[in-house]
Amino acid sequence: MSFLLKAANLKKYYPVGRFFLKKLMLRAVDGVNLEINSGRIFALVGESGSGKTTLGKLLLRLIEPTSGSIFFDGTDITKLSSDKFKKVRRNMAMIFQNPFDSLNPRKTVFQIMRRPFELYKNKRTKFDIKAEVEKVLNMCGLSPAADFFDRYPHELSAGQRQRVVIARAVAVQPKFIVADEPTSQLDVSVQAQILNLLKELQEKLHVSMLFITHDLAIVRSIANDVSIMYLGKIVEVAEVTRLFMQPLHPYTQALLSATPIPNPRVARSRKRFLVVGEPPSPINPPKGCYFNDRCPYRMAKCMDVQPELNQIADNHSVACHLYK
Amino acid sequence: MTAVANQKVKGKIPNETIKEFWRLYKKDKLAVFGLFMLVFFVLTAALADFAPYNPFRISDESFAPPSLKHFFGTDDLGRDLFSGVVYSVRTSLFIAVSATLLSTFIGVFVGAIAGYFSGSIGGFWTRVTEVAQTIPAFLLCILLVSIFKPSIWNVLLSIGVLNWTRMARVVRAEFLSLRERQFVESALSLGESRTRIIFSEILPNVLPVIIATFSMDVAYAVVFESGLSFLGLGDFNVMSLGILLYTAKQYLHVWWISFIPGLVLFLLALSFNLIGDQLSIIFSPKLRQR
Amino acid sequence: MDTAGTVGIKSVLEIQDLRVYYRTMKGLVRAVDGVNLKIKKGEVVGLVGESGCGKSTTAFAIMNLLPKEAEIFSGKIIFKGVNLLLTSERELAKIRGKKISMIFQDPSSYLNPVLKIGDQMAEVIADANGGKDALARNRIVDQLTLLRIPSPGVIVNRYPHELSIGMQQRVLIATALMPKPDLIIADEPTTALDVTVQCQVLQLINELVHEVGCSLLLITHDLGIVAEACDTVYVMYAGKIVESADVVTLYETPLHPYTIGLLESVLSIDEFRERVQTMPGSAPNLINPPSGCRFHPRCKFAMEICVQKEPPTIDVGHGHSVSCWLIKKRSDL
Repeated sequence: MSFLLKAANLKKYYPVGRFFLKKLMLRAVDGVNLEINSGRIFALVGESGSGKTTLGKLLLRLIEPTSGSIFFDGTDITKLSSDKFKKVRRNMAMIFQNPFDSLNPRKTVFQIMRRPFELYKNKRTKFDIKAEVEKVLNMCGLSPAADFFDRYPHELSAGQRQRVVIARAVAVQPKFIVADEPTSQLDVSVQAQILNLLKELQEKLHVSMLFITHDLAIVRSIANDVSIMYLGKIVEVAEVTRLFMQPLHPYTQALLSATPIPNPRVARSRKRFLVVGEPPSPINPPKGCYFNDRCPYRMAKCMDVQPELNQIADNHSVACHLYK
Repeated sequence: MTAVANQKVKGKIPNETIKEFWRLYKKDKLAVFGLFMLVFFVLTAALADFAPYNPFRISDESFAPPSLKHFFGTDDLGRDLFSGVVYSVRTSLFIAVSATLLSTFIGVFVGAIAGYFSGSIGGFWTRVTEVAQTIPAFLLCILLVSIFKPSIWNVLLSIGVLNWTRMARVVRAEFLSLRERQFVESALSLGESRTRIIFSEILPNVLPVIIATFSMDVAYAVVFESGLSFLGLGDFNVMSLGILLYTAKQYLHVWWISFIPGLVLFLLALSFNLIGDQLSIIFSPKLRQR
Repeated sequence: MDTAGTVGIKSVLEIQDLRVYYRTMKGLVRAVDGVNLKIKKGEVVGLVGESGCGKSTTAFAIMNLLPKEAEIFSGKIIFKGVNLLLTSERELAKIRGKKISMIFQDPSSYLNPVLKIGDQMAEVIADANGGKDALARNRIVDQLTLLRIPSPGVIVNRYPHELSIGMQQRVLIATALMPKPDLIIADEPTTALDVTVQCQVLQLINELVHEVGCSLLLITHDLGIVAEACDTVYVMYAGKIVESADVVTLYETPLHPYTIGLLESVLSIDEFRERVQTMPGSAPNLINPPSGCRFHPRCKFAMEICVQKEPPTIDVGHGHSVSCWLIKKRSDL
């Protein structure tokens, strides 16, 4: 299976001062290995402080990694000069979380939408660009598109704004899109519309997507593969059906158990796998497995040795000493 | 809202926004007063050539008090003060606005770089701003103008070159906060160049604040220029409020020679101040209506 | 319709025909337009709706904490037999924080950054000593222990910024529970929290509410939380209550088209959905809401009467009420 994007031992550390002689580092992303195949939706799940947003930005080189490599379509993009990278960047796009902030308040929809075409397509005439913009907006559910050309972001609803953000991302048909919590700030009914749209576009344009979220319920219905992140490390990767059928890592089990289920009978009868405490600080993570101080299955080894991501089955890997 | 959308004005300000802006502006009666005053002054400056007398025309009616013949009276050389004031307003406005355009240009440039770039580049230009702030601009102006002959252009240039620090500070603050916004990140992820982001994405959002600060800076420049002329460093070939006050120095007991130019100066500066103040309030994020 | 004199003995709170309007420059926003709600002693009531439906306004109206642009046009809010809308501000101040507590969404906005945790919590049980005596201190530490806050003795002397958001929210919940109130109003109390912390906090709220015996009005947009925590649910749309029932009935046999649509839009870890059902359109403008039933522009069952007249509230039995002409038609048959 050829992968579109591969991250190898990716790290991002932020210096945050000193503690006597030791330089303190915030380990946002702490040695991540990832493989995303073309045409798949890959979910990246984690809570706040897990490093998922940082990882998303690293893959697009919006942030420079501290160490590690990122292979896109065979090329290591971390080693590219900014000119050469510009050509690669055309194939990558990002969708952000906040529909109220992702669009320049002083630009009309048309002014916002034409930039990707002006940057990456040779069609320079205004007429051609108008046609292209119209096509994309219609594809994203904003029709009739011409009505939206002269509107400003504040004149649009949250759902419409997010559609513009998505339209801008898919405008020049990239191969890879990072969607960072694209629906978490939307109402439930609008969220459903946007998720359907993303799924539709992904199939139509055969795009690979990294879908960053904290909500496992969304993952179940939208993603093909999923990885769970905790304190800068990937603790489990699997195909979606496998993960929900057989979650291996204790943290994954805790996340699933903690996610509310919108069904009162099931909700009240389910067995809860409660995890205590809160995540440790990313500046001073514990020795050994980062999850050990909250893990009910902790063994002596867990406090000493960091578990590696091991492949347990064909499409399931986990970083835990319980599974060897 | 649909009316606005249907107006199809590409990027121009639709009527509703102007109405909304005026509604917010009207809230402060003083600011409205300031605006009317400014309009009045601008008209005066435009119609200066219709003044009753040549302001430099010496007559033998020296020290004549205000009368129907000479609305503001005459000075020691019998020159009509009303005509003098009228031409002075034009000069002061011209110098103050031009100088401020220059200082705004410098201030925006420096502020944008100091605010957008972190690390050594941003740090350097921030330090430059801070150092420039501490320099006593007025003294330096005096120095510059005395070295190079006092002329309207030298006054204009020296004010322009020294009065940019407030603008730079304000612009820097705006850039610092705006560069973290998600729409800027989006532009970066799209592959926009830094120059493009500074000018096309961020700057339009800073424009309102620049306009407000511009107004305040003009008020400052008006007083600045008058100060220079008052000290004798102005261009005596041109009539300005400062020069009138320079003459008035010797005749403080003749009330119309000193009081009237002083009052006009005060009102001119005040009008810009009031307008700038109200604009700052309108454009401040807490009060942005949406 | 109950009047103040015949309130059920078991009701802690009863809202009758509440109308709250906001005066804005664009017009009068009919944020809450005829809401009826009843909370029994010890009951956990969920008020569910999407943004802008008026649920938070309802919550703030109970405690008269509305902004100055808001005006309570009509209605009654009866708390233990007393109409709060007719109560003086002085009397209300005695009730606020003591008989009725509130928990809000963002804990950091509701904690004073320059006061120690212990001092802030003491304000709720302040008496002549100002809550600084040993007795008050012990109560506070006990309360924190109840909320499973580690090292409560230390926390009491900490400042808010030294605690994580999860901790801050727990402190606020502890503060809300300390005076043993009759009613707690929680407005999106866990939205800002991570899912594992949310789970802990919800469990805690549940336990403690049952222990103290107080009632809880839980306001949220999250249908998962409602299923887990609530006994009774009220669904709100565009300023009106469209359906109310006990939680199992609502989720298993919803009747109002909006409720049905909403439940169909929600995803669950329990099942895979190829394509999520969506409702066309979006929430209406509350300055000029649609005529008749406010949901009619988006409703696939809309009939002519739905456009013309507002539907009445129909009791379909077992505490299940719906405000819909379709249901009225069915029940008439």
